Parts: sequence; C-alpha cells; structure tokens
Amino acid sequence: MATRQPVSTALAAEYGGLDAAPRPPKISVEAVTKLYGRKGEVRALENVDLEINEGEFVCLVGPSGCGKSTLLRMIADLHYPTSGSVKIQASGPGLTTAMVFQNYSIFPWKTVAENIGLPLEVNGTPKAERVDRVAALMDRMNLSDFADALPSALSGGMAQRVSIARALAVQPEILLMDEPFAALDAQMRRILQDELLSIWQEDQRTVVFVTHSLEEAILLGDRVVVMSARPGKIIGDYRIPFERPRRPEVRGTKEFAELEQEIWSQMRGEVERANK
Amino acid sequence: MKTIAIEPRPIELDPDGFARRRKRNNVILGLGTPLMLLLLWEVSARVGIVDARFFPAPTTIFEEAGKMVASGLLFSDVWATLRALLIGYALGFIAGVATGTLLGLSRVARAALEPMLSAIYTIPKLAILPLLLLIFGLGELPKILLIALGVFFVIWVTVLEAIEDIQPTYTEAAHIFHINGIQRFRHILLPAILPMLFTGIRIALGTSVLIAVGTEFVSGDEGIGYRIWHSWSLFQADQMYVGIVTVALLGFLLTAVVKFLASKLAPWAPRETRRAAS
Ligand SMILES: Nc1ncnc2c1ncn2[C@@H]1O[C@H](COP(=O)(O)OP(=O)(O)O)[C@@H](O)[C@H]1O
Ligand SMILES: [Mg+2]
Repeated sequence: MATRQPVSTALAAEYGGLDAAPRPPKISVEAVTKLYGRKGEVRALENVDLEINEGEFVCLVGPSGCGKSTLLRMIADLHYPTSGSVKIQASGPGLTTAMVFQNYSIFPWKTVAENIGLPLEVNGTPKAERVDRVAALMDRMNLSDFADALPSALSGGMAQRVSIARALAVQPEILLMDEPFAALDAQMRRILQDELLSIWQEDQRTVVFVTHSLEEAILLGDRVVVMSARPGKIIGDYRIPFERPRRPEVRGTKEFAELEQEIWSQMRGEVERANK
Repeated sequence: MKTIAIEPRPIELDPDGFARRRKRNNVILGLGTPLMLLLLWEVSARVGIVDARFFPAPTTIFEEAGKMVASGLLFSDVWATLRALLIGYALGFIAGVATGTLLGLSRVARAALEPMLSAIYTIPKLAILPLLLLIFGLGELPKILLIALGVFFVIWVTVLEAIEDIQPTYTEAAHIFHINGIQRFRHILLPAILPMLFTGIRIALGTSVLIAVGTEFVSGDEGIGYRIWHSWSLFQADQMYVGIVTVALLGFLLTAVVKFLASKLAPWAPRETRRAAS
C-alpha cells in the first residue's frame, strides 16, 4: 500500500531531525510569480514555493500551459521571475544545470560524437579525457554504432539519447528535463524511461523532470509535484514510496495503480479547467 | 557552496516601461546615428577636411535637390525610372510565377526547361543589354525587357524551390479532400509558397533597381541612372549625390511597400521569412 507522508516530515527524518545542521535545499523556489507580456496579461505562475533537495528526482506534472516549462526554464536561468526568486546551491566549479529539451535541440551539422563532446570541447576538457568520456556515454546509451552519424540519420529515440548523453557529459549538478520523451512512440518511451532509471541510480543526481504523463512521473520520481491550471500553483506534493533502485516492473503493481488513481483524481479537475 | 539567485531583472520588474524605453532608444539610435554622420560630413566639408568638390556638404546637396524639384527635373527622372521598374517588374513577375509553377508541377516541363534556364541564370543580365539595344534600338523597351528578365529569373527559381519545399502533408490533405486544379492552386499552393515568394520579391526588387540604373547609365536620356552618370561627365557632384540618395529612397520605399504587403498577405509566415522580406 502506498504510504504517503507529508514532505516536510519526510525531510526532517532524512536529516536526522532537528539535531542535524540545517542544510539549504539544492533548489529553492520562493514565492515566484511569472507574468508574460508587456502588461503582464498572461499569468503563467502564481506564488509558487518549491524546495528540492540534493539527489532528489522530482517530477512536475500539470495540465498543458500551466507553467511547467516556465518554472523549469527559470531554474535553468533561461527565464526570470516577475517577482520572487529561485535560489540554487552550487557546490562545484562545473556547470550547475544542464537541460534536455523535448525536441532534442541537438545540432544537425554535428555527428553524434561531436554533439556529445561539444560542451566538453568548449570548456577545455583535454582531448584524451573528452574522447574517453564521450565513448563511455555512447556505450552507456547504446549509441556507439552511430558515433559518426549525423542526427538526420537517427530515429527520435536515438536523437533523444544523444541529447541526454550531451547533458550528462558535463556532469551537471542538476539535470533538467522538459517532457523529454513526449515526442517518442510508446515503446521507445518505455525503453528510455527504464534507461533513465538505471542512469539515475548510478550517480543519483538532482533531477527536475517535467512531464504530462502521471505514469511516467510516478515511475521515475521520488516526488511528484502537481500544478494547477493557469496561473500555475502547486496543489499537490506526493512522496513516491517505491524503493530504489526502482525496477520498471513496479508499473504493474496494485500500489502503482492506486497511487496514479489518487493523484489523477486531484489533477483531473485542473486538466478540465485548463481546457475550458 | 555558492548560492545562485535567479531574480527578476529590470525587464521583469517593468516590462512595459522597458519595452517603451527600448523602442525610444532604438528610434534615437536609428535617427541619431545617420544625423551625427551627416553632421560630421557637413563640418568636414566646410572646414575642408574632405574635398568639397567630391564630397559636397549635405546642405549643398539638399539645396541642389530643392532646385531639381523646383525645375521638375527630379520628378521626371524618378517617374522615368519608376515607370520602367513597375512595368518591367510586373512582366517579369507574372512570367516568373507562371514558369516557376509550371516547372514545379510538371515533370515534363521541368525536364525540358530547367537545365537550360539554370545555365542562363548566372549570366549577368546587363551583359544582354547590347543585344537588346541591337534588336529594339534605343528607347524604353530594352530597359523594361532587361528589368523583366532580371525579375523573371529570381522569381521562377524562388517559386520552384517553394513548391518543392511544400510539406507533403498539405498536398496529401488536399488529395484526400479532393481539392484539385485551380482550387488547389488558390487554397493550398499559393498560400504555401507565399512566405518564400515574398523573400523572392524582395530580392528581385534589388535586382530590378540595379538593372534600371545600370541601363540608364549607358542608354537613354532620362531617369535617375542617367542623371547620376550625366552629372559625372559634367563634373556636378551635387547632382550626382541627389541622384544616389533618390535611388536609395526609391528602393527603401518600394521595400517598405513589399514589407507591408507581406505582413498583410502572409501573416502566417515564419518570422525569419518575414524578416528576410522586410
Ligand atoms: N515567452 C512567452 N511569452 C508569452 N507567453 C508565454 C511565453 N512562454 C510561455 N507563455 C505562456 O505561459 C503559459 C505557461 O507556459 P508553459 O510554461 O510553456 O506551460 P507548460 O510547459 O506547462 O505547458 C502558457 O499559457 C503560455 O502560453
Ligand atoms: Mg512545456
């Protein structure tokens, strides 16, 4: 049975209660409101608070147009809030965030290996190390046979693997993913979900993953954050109880179905409201 | 551990004011830069830093323009050039659209004509002027025909490429719903190629002005090109500058018309096409 506990208690437990030194969350979204347009006529986000801890895999779900991408892009430093702030704790000198986009955004004029190696090339990683890292990633993502292929020769699933490998190549502290699998067919989506589960297990990096698929969110996430229809607000924050390393078979369990039903019953009204 | 704070920038705090200030600054820069340069020129010409025989002061040029307007010379020159441009452009455009469409839709026409047309494409149109003069004699006709030729080549290539680029799903949908013949041209083909066509129209505009002026340099006794060339042989730099500025303005105005038409007739055009047509 899916036991759900309020996130705050869960966090307190994780850090050994009040005795542990308070550690600021990796990402802290504080009272963020985002309006678009010269007169602020589009209210995308309203007073959003969200804390994400180091090593947490958080999935953002909500009806389309509710501001998920907007929130993610603010964390990526691509968009800026109208009021409020996003604070990120950066611990190393390297890249803090890297993003995987829905439509891949890999460069059609570079081969698979060149696409993955580009961020390393520009940040001055020595060639030998770069080649090793790119080779390892291509091996990990089953891309080795396509090292010298141009993206136009790749299927959607392959292209998205390149995009993920490119993001992982820079070893970002936070991996941001905006509906990365939405354009793939159902089988390919499943395969990449399973791969992402095992990739995450290896280094347990902080991930913020936007999706409109509840099933995907529950399968992948430690937390599922539910947003309301526009203007986006956070209306639910569910801790996913399934153990790590998480096996893809959890999809078929009764607990999974019940949890999906529970979250869906809350989301449904919002999705309907968004389409009115 | 370093905290990165992503906070509102000035543009988020006051987007409306920011947009207004940016617009105002753009106007100031857009008008101010040429004004400053003109002022610099004026001063240089007066003080004698530049030779006023070759670079007469802007105010002198402006005075000359006033005289040419008063005498009616400028108007008749502009009209001579504009008339040839409009007639030549219209002829070349119609022929270009017809040919491009034919080549785009008929495999046979394409096989028969495209290699030849492509081979001729790179011939500088002005190189044919002597031949046209030989056949048609002096007068307006060679000028009009040459302009038409220049426009024709840009337009048919654009139309052909645009037709080839049409997404198959559009033509497939047309097929499914039995949209054929002239209906197909009107509802599918024409709107589909329109954004690219406007890019072609814009490029052809530049070509046509170039050909008009070039033709007037060497033949005829009116038009802005004639005036510029004539001023050189008479050593009248003032008049020459008036001619150059007038051509520039003419090109600018015609481009503005095309830009306006593009925004009205093809509002669905992707932004880069619209910019190319602007
Ligand atoms: N650059 C922009 N300018 C104006 N409105 C925007 C812009 N980006 C997004 N929006 C609007 O903000 C709302 C939220 O968009 P988005 O974050 O993309 O939603 P989601 O990713 O949840 O589908 C939508 O209504 C969208 O139309
Ligand atoms: Mg989105």
